[in-house]
Amino acid sequence: MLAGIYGLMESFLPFSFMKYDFIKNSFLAILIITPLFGLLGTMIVNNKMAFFSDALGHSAFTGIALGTLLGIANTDLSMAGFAVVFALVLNVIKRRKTISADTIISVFSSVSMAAGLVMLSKNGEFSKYSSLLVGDILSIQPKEILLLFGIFLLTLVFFGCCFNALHAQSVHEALARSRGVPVAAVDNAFSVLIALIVMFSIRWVGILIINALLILPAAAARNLASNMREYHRFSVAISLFSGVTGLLLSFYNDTATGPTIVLAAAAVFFLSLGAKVVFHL
Amino acid sequence: MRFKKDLILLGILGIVAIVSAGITVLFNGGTEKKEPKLQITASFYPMYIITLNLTEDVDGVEAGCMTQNQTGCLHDYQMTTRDMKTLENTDIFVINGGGMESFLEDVIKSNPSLTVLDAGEKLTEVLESHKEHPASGDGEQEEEGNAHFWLNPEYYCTQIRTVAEGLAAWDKDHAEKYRENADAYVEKVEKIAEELKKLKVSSGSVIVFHDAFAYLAEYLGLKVARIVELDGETSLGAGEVAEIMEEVRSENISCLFTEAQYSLEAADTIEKETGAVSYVIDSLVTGDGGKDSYLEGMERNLEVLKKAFGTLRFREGGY
Repeated sequence: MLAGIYGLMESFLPFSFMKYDFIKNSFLAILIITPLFGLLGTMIVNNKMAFFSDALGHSAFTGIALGTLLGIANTDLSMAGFAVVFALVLNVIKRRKTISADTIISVFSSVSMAAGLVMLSKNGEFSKYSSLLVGDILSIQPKEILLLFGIFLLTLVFFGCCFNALHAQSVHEALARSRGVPVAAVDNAFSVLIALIVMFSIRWVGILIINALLILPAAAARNLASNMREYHRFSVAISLFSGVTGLLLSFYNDTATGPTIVLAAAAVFFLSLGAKVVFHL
Repeated sequence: MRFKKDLILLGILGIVAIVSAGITVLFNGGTEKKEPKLQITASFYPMYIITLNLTEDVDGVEAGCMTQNQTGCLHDYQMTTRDMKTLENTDIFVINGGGMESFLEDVIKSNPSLTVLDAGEKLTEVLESHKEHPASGDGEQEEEGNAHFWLNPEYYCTQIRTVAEGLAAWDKDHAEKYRENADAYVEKVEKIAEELKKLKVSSGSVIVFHDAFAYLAEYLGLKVARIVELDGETSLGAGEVAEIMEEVRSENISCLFTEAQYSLEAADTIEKETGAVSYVIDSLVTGDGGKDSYLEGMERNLEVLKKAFGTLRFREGGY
């Protein structure tokens, strides 16, 4: 099946860079990750969870450190497990409303980052994982792409069933609750979904820029869109466009891929901001 | 109205695409090169210098290096798109071996047809013995082994010969030339090795700030009291600095071998508090790309070592 996809890509995209398998792999990965991020980003921006997803990214270090400490061979699992726990605990404390949400997220974010660094530096292994900071989409393998595709389908299903509830909650939480929306459950499910997506793509995208990829397309789309449908359509389109442009740019100019994608998305964001002002959108 | 917004978005994306294309054209103004008959690529600087010397005056062979001349050691090296591209067009990939090229598995996976020439294939025993080096610090590098063979001139010569034989087997037309070049280069290295040997001592300990220097110390007959692992990202813990100071005092160590590539602050602190002198040694992993840079670097190290050994003898009471 893989050969078939490769063949299709070669005939549809007859560029010199397409002859490399690693480019095909990362191209496929980008075709999956970017729409996923575009879609998810809209909800993250709506529910004011930008900081939350950033904190999740930072917890990756602790997840890995715990994994090595407990002797789990596949640190992806410990990373995802820890992120899910992290997200749920954070949600519980956040809902108590004893401290403001951004403070508690910041506390969690710095604690998990520091804990991860302490554990990894104790074993002298930090430098081994420093590649997590910027990520490396070029080394992605077909099996991992398949996993991402699975998560993509999961996200579509989640959006299919929970979009209205999630949206209602982002508009007015108390109102949503009075209408019988299980606010806490939906919130938790969404947080777990973000945790999984962030953790399974962090190796490819990198801790330092994963949030930019989640937020920038959605923010740019928000500048232009006037209804929910447009908002999502634009966000996915911008995300996809930035991903492909960034990959091509990084290939021809020898720059790191992840940050290049972010810059492309940032360019779209600032132009859309300008367009919003000029065209009075 | 909805239509207009789509147009605006398209316009924005178009602008970004055009600017991107412009940037790319600007940075890559016609640098296409003709491909030579045989492309040999080295993984990093020391291997590049070997390859450069071996392929001197050999027609139709191009020696290149995957990493930049200033990359330094390959610890945890992250491959870039450029590296992948370079390797796609490579016939022979010369590596140091011993686990130095941690990315090798990925490389072979994406380039199954690439011929990999392992310069360290005859040095596996050396690697084994350095794995269980009793003097090595906390035991982190025990798992990976110490693959900085080239700092021991003897092993470096083994690497030169290994690469030369590998190239000779692959490119039979020039086999003789490769061997000749190897002889000439080994001779030059041996000349410096002789000089180094004159410094050889029967006792004395040193603390090294890079496991690479363990090989140099071994060649000089020095006992490595401790290998302090430094890398670009992490700093020494306070406990470790104190431990090193204790060791310097208790074992009467007068020299610290540090490396310019990494931070020197820790060594400075230790120097100030204990009176041991730190000497900056070149681990020969960076340079200007000249084919004699190993020889020149070793000469400089020789000068530094002469000074260092002056202190060592003084401490040992007129050795």
